[in-house]
Amino acid sequence: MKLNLQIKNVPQPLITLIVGLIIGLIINDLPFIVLNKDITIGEISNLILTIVIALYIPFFLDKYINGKRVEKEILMEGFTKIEVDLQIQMKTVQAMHILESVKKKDANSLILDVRSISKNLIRMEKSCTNFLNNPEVNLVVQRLKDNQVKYWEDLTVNLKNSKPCIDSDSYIRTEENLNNYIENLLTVKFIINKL
Amino acid sequence: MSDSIVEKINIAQDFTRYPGARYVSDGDNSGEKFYIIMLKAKFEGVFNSDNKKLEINFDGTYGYASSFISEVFRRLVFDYKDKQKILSKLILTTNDDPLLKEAILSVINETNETKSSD
Repeated sequence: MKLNLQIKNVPQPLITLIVGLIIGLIINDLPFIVLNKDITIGEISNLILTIVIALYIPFFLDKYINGKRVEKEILMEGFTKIEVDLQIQMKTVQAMHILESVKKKDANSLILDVRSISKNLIRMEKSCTNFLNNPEVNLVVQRLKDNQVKYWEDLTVNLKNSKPCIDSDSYIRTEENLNNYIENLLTVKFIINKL
Repeated sequence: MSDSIVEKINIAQDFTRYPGARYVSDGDNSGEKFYIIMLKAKFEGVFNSDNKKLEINFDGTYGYASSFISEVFRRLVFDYKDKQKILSKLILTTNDDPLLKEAILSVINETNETKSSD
C-alpha cells in the first residue's frame, strides 16, 4: 500500500522515461536485435516530421474536417428550411385557389411569407459566399434567386386586388415555378454534400 | 457624379404602408396611383437634370404585389423610353426584400419602350 502511494506521487512523464530507458537497455542487450547507432540528420528530420504529422492529423486536420462538415450541415439545413416553407406555402396557395376567393388578411399574410423566404434566401447566399465560395454553388444560388423572383411575380399578381384571388393561370405558373425552385434547392444540397 | 443631388421618395412615409394592386380600379393605393401622383412628378425633374437622381425607398411596407411594381416601372419605361438613362437615374433601396430590386430591374429590362402608358 505504501509503495503504491509513492508511485502515484511520481510524475507520469518521469515513469514513462524510466520505463522507456529500461526497455531500451533490455532491447540493447538482446543478441538477435542489432541497433544501428549511426543516426543521420535526415533520419532525425524524418522522425520529427513523423511526430509533427502524427500530431497534426488528430488535432488540426480532424478539427478542420469536422468544422467543414458542420458548416455544410448548417447550410444544407438552411436550404431544407426554405424547401419546407415553400411546400407549406404551396398547400396554402392550393387551398386559396380552390376557394376561389381569398381574405385580404390571408393574402397579405401570404405576401409577407413570400418576402420572408426571399430574405432567407439572401441570408443563405451570404453564408454560402462566406463559408464555401464555390462557383458551382454560387451558380445554383443565382438560379434560386431567379426562381424566387419568378415565384413572387406569379403568385402575388392578384393578391392585393380589392378582391384578392389566385386564378388558374397564377396557380399553374406558381406550381411550375415551385417545381423548378425545389429542383434547384435539391441540386444545391447535393453539390454542398459532395464538397 | 459624387456631387449629384438625390431626390427621395419613401413609399411607406410618403404614399402608404399598404401598397395595393395594379390599377386604380383594382383598389386602394395602386401602382397606377403611385406613379401618377408621386413618381412621375418627381422623376420628370430628375430625368431632365444632369446631376439629379431619385432614390426610391421600398422599405417599411406590408409587402408588394408584383402587379404594383410591374405597373409603376412599365409606365416609367413607356413615358421615358431610354432604359439606360432611367436606370442611371434611379437608386432603389429594398432592404426588406433585397430581391425586389432584381424584380424591378427585370420589369424595366423586359418592358417594350415603344408602347404608351395611356
